[in-house]
Amino acid sequence: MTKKILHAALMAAALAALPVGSPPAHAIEKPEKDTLVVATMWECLPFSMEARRSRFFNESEILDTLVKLDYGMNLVPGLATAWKRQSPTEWTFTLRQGVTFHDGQPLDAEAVKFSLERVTALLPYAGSLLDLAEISVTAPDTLNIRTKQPFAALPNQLTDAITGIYARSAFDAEGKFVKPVGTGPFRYASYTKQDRTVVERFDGYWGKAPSLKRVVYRYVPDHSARVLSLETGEVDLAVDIPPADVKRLSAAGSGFQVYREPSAGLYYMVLNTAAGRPFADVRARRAVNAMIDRKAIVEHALDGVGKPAWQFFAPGFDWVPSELPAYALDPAAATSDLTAAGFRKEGGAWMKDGKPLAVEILSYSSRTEMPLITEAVSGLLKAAGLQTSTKMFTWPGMLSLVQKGQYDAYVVFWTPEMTAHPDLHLLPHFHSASGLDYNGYRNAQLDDLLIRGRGLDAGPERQATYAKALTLVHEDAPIVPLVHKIYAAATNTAVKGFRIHPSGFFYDFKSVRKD
Amino acid sequence: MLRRLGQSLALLILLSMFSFALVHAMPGDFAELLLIERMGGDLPARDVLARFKAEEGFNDPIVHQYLRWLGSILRGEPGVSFQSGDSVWAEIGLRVENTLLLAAASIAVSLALAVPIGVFAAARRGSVWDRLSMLLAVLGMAIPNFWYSLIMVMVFSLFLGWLPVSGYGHWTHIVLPALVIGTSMAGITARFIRSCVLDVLSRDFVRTAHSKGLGEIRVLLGHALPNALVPIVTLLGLQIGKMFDGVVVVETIFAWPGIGRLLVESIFSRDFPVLQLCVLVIGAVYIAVNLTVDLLVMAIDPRIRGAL
Repeated sequence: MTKKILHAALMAAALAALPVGSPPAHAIEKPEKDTLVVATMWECLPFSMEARRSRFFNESEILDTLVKLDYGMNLVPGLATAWKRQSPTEWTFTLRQGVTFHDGQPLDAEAVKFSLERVTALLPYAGSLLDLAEISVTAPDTLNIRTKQPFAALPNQLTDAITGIYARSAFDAEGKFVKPVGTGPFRYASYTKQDRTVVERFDGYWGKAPSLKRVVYRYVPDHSARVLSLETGEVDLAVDIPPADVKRLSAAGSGFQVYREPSAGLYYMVLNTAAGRPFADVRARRAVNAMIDRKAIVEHALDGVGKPAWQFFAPGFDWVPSELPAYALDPAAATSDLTAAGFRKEGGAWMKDGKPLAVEILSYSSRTEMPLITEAVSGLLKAAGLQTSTKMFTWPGMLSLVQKGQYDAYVVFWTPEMTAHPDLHLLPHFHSASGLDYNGYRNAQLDDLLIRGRGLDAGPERQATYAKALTLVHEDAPIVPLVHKIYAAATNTAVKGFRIHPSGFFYDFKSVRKD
Repeated sequence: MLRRLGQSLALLILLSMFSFALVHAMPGDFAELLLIERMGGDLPARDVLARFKAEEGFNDPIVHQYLRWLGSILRGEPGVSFQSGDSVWAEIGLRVENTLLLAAASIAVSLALAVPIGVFAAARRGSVWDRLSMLLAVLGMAIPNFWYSLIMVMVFSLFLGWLPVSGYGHWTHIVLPALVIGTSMAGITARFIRSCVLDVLSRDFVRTAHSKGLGEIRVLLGHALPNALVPIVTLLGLQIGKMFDGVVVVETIFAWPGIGRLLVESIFSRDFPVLQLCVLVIGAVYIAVNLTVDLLVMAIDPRIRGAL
């Protein structure tokens, strides 16, 4: 008898450790009606204005830029209502009247000058992005920006998140960044480390007031957990959702709305053109471009979330010159290119002077799609008869090898279309003097075209110049374009008015409401 | 006792040297990476980098650099995180606090299951309890935590709607991660308790206790368990250690800001100031836990006191 009681008591003790009692019904916090809760893959940090981090200030619209991009990637007024090129190196910007910062201070030309100068002092990259020589105030609402070289792309570069306009109170007495104070429809409210960043509606906003009172950016690093939070109703919107869930949530009757739009971004492989490397010969570079089936990468490595890339810029942006040459999957052309370059196929492997065509591909694993794409490229080239291997690093780890030229090829992600001007990425990546790809690629004719292009206003001459430049890049094949980015997000059906912005760095929650 | 404390201190100093050297031995120029971060991702020119190295003391002998780093930690100002721009202590303090919370909750869950099951499995070899402990141990080892975590989220958050998926700061947030870790540890712990108790049960003093006419429960809980405690406490020490670096997957899924995840993140993002201190703190925790275990064991078993 005692044994039985003992048995029962121990069983009860063990069971008590399991969650049999029901927790309070309101354990899951449901967002209020005028609050939008967003689950993000990265933590939205309010106290860092480092280039990659401060994009959040633009995405969430705490800050405004002088110039903005609409959904067609056209330039539209931001804090500047008009801009005019006075001379090849001089621009005048007329500022919007009646704009106040979140701290109550008025926006004027002095304030904008202060902000831009502060940003370029703290982030030297911003100075070269704008090619900045001098900023001067000519009237309370007029700003003069002088560039070092003739620079037609300035208004486009001023849409870049890092040029957002900060109030003086965003910095301390020593000029160090403290917190984001801007002019946007939302003001920074609070931050809980590793959990959430909250912004609130700013009632003094110069444009149409948002209908949401508050936006909460919750940090949910696990991709599946981000989608599950959406399904339990804890969050209203989840961004960067895994391809498999895109398919599931897209099904009719799922109760969720999935958004998939092309946005700025290209995954591509850089080929080292230095002498002694396998890709020193342009024919070998063209051959790999003809060997890689981009469609297979998108379908099998990325579950269809992406667009095969056969050119540097994604089609569909009207500032990209039309009718540019494009690569195509063409095994016969690859074979004739490699044969012309002195390679011979022996037993299924490409050989030259008794040595196989061996390529080591580097990439970095911090961006989720990178290992998938890199492995796919390696596999496709192997199937075509190359001897490939891959090595994964962190971004700076890979960069340290790339800068020293110790590589054959590497796979990266950049956002060439982000400011709707070809200059943003063509000049730093393909000009001999900048060479941000570190692949030893040089073409004097291309250099001239790129310098000329950034000085030209929009029009047929600019189109022709960039068409010629992009054709040279295509023929010289210093890179292998792989995949154009598709941005994926999902909301519950109460969320109305959300659109994915093609720049990839803008949420535009001021037109979002919840029913 | 004093010798044991001295050993711990020496170990701590060795550890600090190791965590400092580790970062400097990693590929990539530490000074260059630091400058890239300060310049907002820009690549510094050669002359700028050389000047920076000279000004910031990167050309000094490595021993000077180490002492300077140690000094900055002792003064409580080991720099700011590259990633968040916040002080390294603030980053790590939050993580240590939450890891301790999760460790306490998980081990409580684990013990609540393992002690009754383990003790009874020992007393009734081959019984339902014995088989249950075996089942738990096998499941705990065989089921990967990322899968188990997502299943728990689906059951308790999606279907039942009782608990939030992820986050921290409210007591409901700790329940799921603690259940996942606690139950997956419980099986091993139960098997361990079982074998420890089993070992003690065959001793003479247990037979004596039985022959004195004591009830089974008093023999088990009053005589057998306390004598089996020494190895169990040691195992608990190991499990606490594991909570500091071995539950990254669970921390990530539940967005629980534990120190294991901070360690992994700081490696991936090359956040050296955080990484260095993370290694130091995790190592220090191991040392502290081991010391505590030794002291506890001494308190439990008078025979060991002389041995240390």
